[in-house]
Amino acid sequence: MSGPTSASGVAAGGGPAGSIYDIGYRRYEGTRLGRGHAIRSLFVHSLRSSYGLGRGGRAKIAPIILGILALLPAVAIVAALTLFAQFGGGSEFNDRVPIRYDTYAGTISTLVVLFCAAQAPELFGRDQRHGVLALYFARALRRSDYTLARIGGFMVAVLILELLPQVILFLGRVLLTTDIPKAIGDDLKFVGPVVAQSVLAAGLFGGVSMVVSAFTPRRAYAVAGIIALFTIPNVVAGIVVGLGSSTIGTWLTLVSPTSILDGTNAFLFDTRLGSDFFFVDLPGIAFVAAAGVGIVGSIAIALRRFARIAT
Amino acid sequence: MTGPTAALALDRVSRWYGNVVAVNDVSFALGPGITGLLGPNGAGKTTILHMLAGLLRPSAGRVAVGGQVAWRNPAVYREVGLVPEREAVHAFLTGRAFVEMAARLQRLPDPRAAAAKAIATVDLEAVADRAVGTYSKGMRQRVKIAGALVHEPPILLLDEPFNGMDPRQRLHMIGLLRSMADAGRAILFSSHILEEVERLADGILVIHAGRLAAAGDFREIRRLMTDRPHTFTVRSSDDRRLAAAFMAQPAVFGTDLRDGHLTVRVAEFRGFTQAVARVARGAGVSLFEVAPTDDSLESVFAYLVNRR
Amino acid sequence: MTAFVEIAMVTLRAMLGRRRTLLMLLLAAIPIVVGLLIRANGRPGPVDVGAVLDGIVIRVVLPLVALVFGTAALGSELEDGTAVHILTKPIRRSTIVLAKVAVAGSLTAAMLVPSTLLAGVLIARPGSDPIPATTAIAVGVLVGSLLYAAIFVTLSIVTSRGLLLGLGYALIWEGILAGLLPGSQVFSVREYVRGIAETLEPSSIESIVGSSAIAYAAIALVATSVIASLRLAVYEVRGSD
Repeated sequence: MSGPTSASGVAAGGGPAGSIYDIGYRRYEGTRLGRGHAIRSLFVHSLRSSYGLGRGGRAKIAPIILGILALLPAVAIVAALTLFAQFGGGSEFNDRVPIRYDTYAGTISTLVVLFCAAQAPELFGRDQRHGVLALYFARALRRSDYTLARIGGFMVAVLILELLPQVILFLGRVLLTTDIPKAIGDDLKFVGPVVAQSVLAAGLFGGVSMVVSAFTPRRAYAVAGIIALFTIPNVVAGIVVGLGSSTIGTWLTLVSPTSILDGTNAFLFDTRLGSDFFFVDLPGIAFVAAAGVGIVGSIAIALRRFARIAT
Repeated sequence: MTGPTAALALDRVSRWYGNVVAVNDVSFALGPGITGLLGPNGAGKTTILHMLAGLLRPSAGRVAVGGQVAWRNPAVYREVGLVPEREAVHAFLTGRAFVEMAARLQRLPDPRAAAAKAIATVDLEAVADRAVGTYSKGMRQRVKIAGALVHEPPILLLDEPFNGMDPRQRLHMIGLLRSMADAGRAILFSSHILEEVERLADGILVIHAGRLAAAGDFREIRRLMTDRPHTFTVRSSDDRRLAAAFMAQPAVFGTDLRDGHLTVRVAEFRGFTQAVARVARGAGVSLFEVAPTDDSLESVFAYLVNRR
Repeated sequence: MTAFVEIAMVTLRAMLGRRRTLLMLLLAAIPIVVGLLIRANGRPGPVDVGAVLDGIVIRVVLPLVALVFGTAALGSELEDGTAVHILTKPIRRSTIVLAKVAVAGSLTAAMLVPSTLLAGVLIARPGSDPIPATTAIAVGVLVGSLLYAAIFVTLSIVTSRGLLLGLGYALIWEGILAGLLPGSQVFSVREYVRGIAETLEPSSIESIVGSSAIAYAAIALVATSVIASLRLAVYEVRGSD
């Protein structure tokens, strides 16, 4: 009853031929792409969703606006430097602009926080709100795969947000001069710190926001929680440290994500932390360690959450 | 179906969202009694009900409730009760608290008594003091109905009211709505379940893809559909001979012989019912059963919906 | 007026769900925690209590708590369909809006005013008198609670992404833009709060708008309420069909 027949419609015996095909339910016997493919797809999907791609127009508004705002300082600086060059000013301004490789992360930190608050709740929150976790876990995907793929996708999204402006800055500075190899050589020493800082920032901001979003399907709580975690400890730390150095103050700076990233920034770029505000006598490496703990810790908490969540 | 003072009236009403037309040039006028708004999902039933309830603005045309325009007119809510489809009632409120709140927001002189009466009407006294969050779906429906009835409005709008009700509750609800309509209220309810509408409604409005396909009593609508033959099922002592006799009649389009019965397709309903006995007697065949097969709302509906 | 009370009571009960109340109390407790940390720090507190309270309460905790209550008061009801039962009653839309704003604002103030007062006392250097400054700021916080609540309620009616817009306003407009374009802060609730505090007790805090803050705040309160009422009057409930 099934199976193709000869296309010419003529049976082996020489008369006209025909067949009736069974088009009822059949099992799929073809290739299955497997777990690796599922993980990769979920990763890419999370990355795209973070920028609103693959969803309706309204979902794109927030990330696109924030992305543009994050790029704005870089574009503005490149434009300004170009203008200076036009008016005969040399590269003497290049290192005196207020927005440089080492200050960029701090400049856009509020925008990154907003980006996390806007997008992270969507990634874990929507799945929980609509009860589709059972569907995910019924696939080749393991629970840990799901968690890691989603978090990974989001972290890369934040990484793009952190790195892209720096790339523009680099390109602008390099292309502005006539001696390109020299300019590249000059700025090369910044590449390592920029990438390292961006990776740490993406990891910490992304990880913490995803953990918050993992615990609540309601957007309002996730958003408020993310904002609170990124702004309050910083302010509190600043206040306590501003009163003079103390153990409590030191611990607070190690617990506040934004302070940690300020510390790693200073360490990686080997600059004195801007104001006396952060005069804490900790080796810079302590901040990097704190960042590492934060990143690994948030991933671990999220993994545990989804390992135990009831679907 | 149209009364002297139309309680609910749509006059060439359309509603579109960008390029999508949800309701397309619909007009009708309803008076006291029960009308069923019938249509598949996505046909525009909720849109029409929400426009009547003043929750949506018509893109064109006029929506009048009790003579007043419904949109941007909070005063109209004294005359109307709406039972929305979505289940949402604050879960922490008890049924009684919800109905009493509705009564107080309607500025009734004695909210407690009105609420008690409404709760009794929907037969919810046993659970009235439990939180709505613990209710079954049917109970939640009934508490919403109580909230819509508490101010005894002359006009009642219900969106898929039988959703989630078991047969006993449905029967009770049908009885309730029937008695309210007999007391002079104008009730419009939407449904995509034909049996409910067939059993309850005095008249129907059939909506399909935003257009009003038919309005009125469904049997009359069927009669009006003259370009489609009526079908009867006949059982007799000698089906084949009877079939031959039928085929000799000019009004008969065709017959089908199946196991144990005969299907006859005729051009016109009434004529056939009058002639069938005569034809049978002339052929010497005894009739056991004669029944119209497609006189149901279902076939009417299928016809209206599939015509396009 | 009974409609106002009725709606207010239901909103109040809806707001005080266990989880939300707990989280907001946690947030509101943070200034107090800061005060305790400073006490435990072993070093004398700052002379300028106003700066600390500005940093913690006015800039962070106040907008956050008001945001949660403000968007939940009406926005969550509009989203889950519960609002239909209130909208289909013969009540003026302005009554509904005012009731929601009153509840959201009062809840925020009820949590934050005591927190501000307590925190101010804890933070201050022993021997200094923080009461006048702290009270002035607490009054500002009270007005700010109402005003933020009004803004966030309005945003949640006007758009379904009210939460994010409100956040953007608090963080970008009142945060980043304040540094770049000081003049923009004529439209900033944060500045009004500071201005009111400054008017009551000049030493407590610095503000750009000064005593005009009172007038601005009043205008803003009325304007947002009017906008919210008008917008609610034409709010459309689409339904799934």
